[in-house]
Parts: sequence; C-alpha cells; structure tokens
Amino acid sequence: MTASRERRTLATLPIFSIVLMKEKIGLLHISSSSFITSSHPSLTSSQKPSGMTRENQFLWLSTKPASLPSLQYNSTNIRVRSTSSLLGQADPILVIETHPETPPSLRIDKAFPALLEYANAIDFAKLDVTDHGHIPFVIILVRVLEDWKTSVSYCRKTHLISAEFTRYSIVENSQPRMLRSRNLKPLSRR
Amino acid sequence: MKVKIDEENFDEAFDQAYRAWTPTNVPSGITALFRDPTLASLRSDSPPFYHLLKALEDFSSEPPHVLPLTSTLPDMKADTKKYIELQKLYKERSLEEKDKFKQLLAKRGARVDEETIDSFVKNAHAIRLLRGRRWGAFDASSAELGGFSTSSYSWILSVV
Repeated sequence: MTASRERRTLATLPIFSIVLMKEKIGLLHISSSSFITSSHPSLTSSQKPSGMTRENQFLWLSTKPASLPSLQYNSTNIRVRSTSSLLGQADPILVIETHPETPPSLRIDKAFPALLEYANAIDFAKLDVTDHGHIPFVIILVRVLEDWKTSVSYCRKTHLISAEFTRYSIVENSQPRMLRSRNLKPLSRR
Repeated sequence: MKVKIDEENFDEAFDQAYRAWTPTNVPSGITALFRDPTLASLRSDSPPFYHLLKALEDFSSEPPHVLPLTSTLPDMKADTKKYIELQKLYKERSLEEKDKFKQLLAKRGARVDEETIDSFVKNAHAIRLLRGRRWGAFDASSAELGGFSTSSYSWILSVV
C-alpha cells in the first residue's frame, strides 16, 4: 500500500480511521498525516509485536489530551493454526448517549405527586367499557400499588409487592380473600 | 380490575408488572461511577462530564434517591387523550427535575452548555465511563497475569 493510497483510504473513512501499518511504511509517514490530530479513533494492524508497541505508544502519546481510542488487531500464524487478538487502548472515554436497551424507569413504585393524584382520581368502577379498556398500564400499576399499600398484605418494612397480588388485582379481579389467606404469612416473615 | 376478557391494557399492565415490584433506585453501574477518584478531586477545569456526574450524585442523594425522570414514555394501549395527559405529567415533572439538576450544577460553579445537560439528564440511567490502558500495560503486570510473565509466554511459543 502506498502512502498516497493510504491517505485516500483514511479520508474516505470519517468514523473509524483504519491504518494498515507495516514496518516499511513506518511511523514517520503516520506522524506526518493529519488524521492523528483529527477526532477519529484508529484501528491498527501489525504483525510484529515490537512494531505494535511502538505504534501504539505513538498513538497514545500523540492523541493526548484528545483521548482518542485506538484498537490494535494482530494475527499470528503458527504452522497451520492462526491466532488473532483485538486489543484496545484509550484514556477514559465518557459516553452520554449509549442508546441502551434497558428503558428508563417510569417510577411506578415511587410515583411523583401529580402522577399519584391522577391515578387516584380515576374511578375505575364508574368508567364506561371503552374508557376502561384504554387506561394506560402505568396508571393501572400505580393504582394497584396504592391499593396494595392499604391492604393487609403490605409489608412496610420491605415495600415489596408480591407477584401474586399483582396478578389477582389486575387480571383475576379477585383480590381480597385469596390474597389475605395466601400472602399475609409470607410477607410478614420477610 | 379487569372487567372484560379482551382488555389489552390490563394484559399489558400484567406483562409490565415487574416495573411495579422492581424498586426504582440508582443503577449499580451509575453508583460505581460516583466512586470515581476524579470526582473527589474535581477542579473547575475538569471535563464537563465529571461536573455533571457530581451533580447527579447530589441529585440522587436526596429523597426519593432516584435519577432525574425522563419524559420518554413507551408506547402503550391507551386512547390519545389519556396518553397525552400522561405524557404531559411526565414531561412537566421531568422539566422540574431538570431545573433542580441545573441548580445543583450551578451551585458547584460548573459551566456546561444546555444541550449537553439536556442529553445527560435524558440518558442519565445509561451513562458510561470506558477505561482503556496503554498498550503493553497488561503484559507488563505480572500480578494481573497471575504470576505468568510475558517472557515465559514467549518461551512457550518458541517451544510450540
């Protein structure tokens, strides 16, 4: 790979700069190219451990204080077997937008006053069938928790609601007697 | 509570019931960030992330010991009117809590731009601090290698 070709390759990769470093290209070329000072993380590949160390030391030092992450990919052929490793080095990377799969809390168990007031103001028994079938689940759960707190099976110490209570309250619609007999003992033991 | 067998909102409530019995606390990953040594020696020129993190710690140390509320509501079986009413409740509360967070941040004399604060508060439950190490640091530490030095590793390779 020639130096000019490598420069073009780097320029077309705005997110992740890929640097294929061989001993003969050397660090001098890398240090003269402008991508190091840009804000791109880098991926380097080399076959000799000594070269890898030198290159990564260079990347480590030259990207400070920008703290750009660099990944090192290495592969080694031993007879017919091939081993490879992908190693990374970076100063602390602070990430705010991680796009997690876990949804943020709706704070159902610690409902804020306005939510609690809204949920308590709904009279489930007086709603017509259509409205009853369109109450958001958040409101239903807040109400179930509130009802549970006033029931005999509520354990103030643990604040743990039992799965059985939720099931009977929401779906089975048969909360009182079954819960009192089935849930009181286990909860009082906690 | 469920009066008809086909009331999907109650089925949804049942499916989401774990949210009711899972206590809302500060996630352990975030609490671990509060123990970062940089927070103990926070200076005015420290990166904004650490100032935001410190303000978040202040926020969560007050009752009810939670992270700032996000206004994002998931999709749910509801009519438009009730959904919007609920969304407004969450939005108003999240704005209140964001203001409180900003006050805590201002109290520490930190200057962070509004956009970053908004993004931080919105994603407060999922912030991450990734730590890497300089190349070769792991190989140089025989303690981490369990007493196994890189020289013996080279020797094994040469034998193979």
